Amino acid sequence: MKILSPLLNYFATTGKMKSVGAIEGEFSKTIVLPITNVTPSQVLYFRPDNELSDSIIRSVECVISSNLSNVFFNGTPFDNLSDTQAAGGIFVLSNSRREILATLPLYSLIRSINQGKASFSCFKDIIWESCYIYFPSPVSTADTYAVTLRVYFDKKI
Amino acid sequence: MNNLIIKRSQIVEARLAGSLAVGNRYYFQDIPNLSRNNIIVYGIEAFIDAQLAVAPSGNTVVGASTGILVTLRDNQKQEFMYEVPYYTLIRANNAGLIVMMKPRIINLTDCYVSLTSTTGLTLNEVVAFNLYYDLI
Repeated sequence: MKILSPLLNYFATTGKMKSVGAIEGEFSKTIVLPITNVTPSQVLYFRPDNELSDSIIRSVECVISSNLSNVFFNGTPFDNLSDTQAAGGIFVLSNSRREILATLPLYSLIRSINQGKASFSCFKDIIWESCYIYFPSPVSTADTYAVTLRVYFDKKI
Repeated sequence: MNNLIIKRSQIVEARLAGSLAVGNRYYFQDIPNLSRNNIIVYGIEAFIDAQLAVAPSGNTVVGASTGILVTLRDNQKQEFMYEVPYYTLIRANNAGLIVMMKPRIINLTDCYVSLTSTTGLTLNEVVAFNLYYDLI
């Protein structure tokens, strides 16, 4: 304990760790990104979202078809990816200097596969429209698929 | 119970190049984004193809995890995380928890994986990790 306690204290006070049962963020929203005719490594940027760009992203969750079968985007229904399809995708976050902050495989962001554990984050300086998803491998999807993310965030004061 | 908060992350790879044999070492490939001395790594997560089919380099990710050991070296060449089973670092296998470590400046290209078994592994596949780091 003599060794562990100062280390745990360090992780907690520097914002590198928190309880798995903690609130992810004060606000949350669902983001849908249709992936029509995607080719390997094609970059799919998100649409601008000033609310997210002015927020601290506290957690991101990837919603798969076994959690929610389909979603609507501009009034059109899209199927969510399966866990196997999600294993082909990578979510990249970048900041206002176009610096890549994080590269996160979509599979890691699926909550139900990780025994309900959220992927906590602390991204303070992101520009949402500079963030993107890409699939390094060919993804076998029809035109009717979309990536659905649940984004938990706190607004900057 | 606590879990890691991601501040910054980068996918890194070690390619099973040359020949595939028990005891061989396969070193991590350089990532310019991480080649700075003001970076401390405080968490690591590993993947097999079920979690990440193809790595950013375009190489297929390994399909088996039970014959791989991971060693991380810091900038003093100290093997501070020596021969950790790859399986242990896979989040989905371990209740969704990410393995955390005492923050260190690591020497990425000195870190390596070694094999205790080649079963289920193929030449030129990559062993893929996500390193969680912060700026000093």
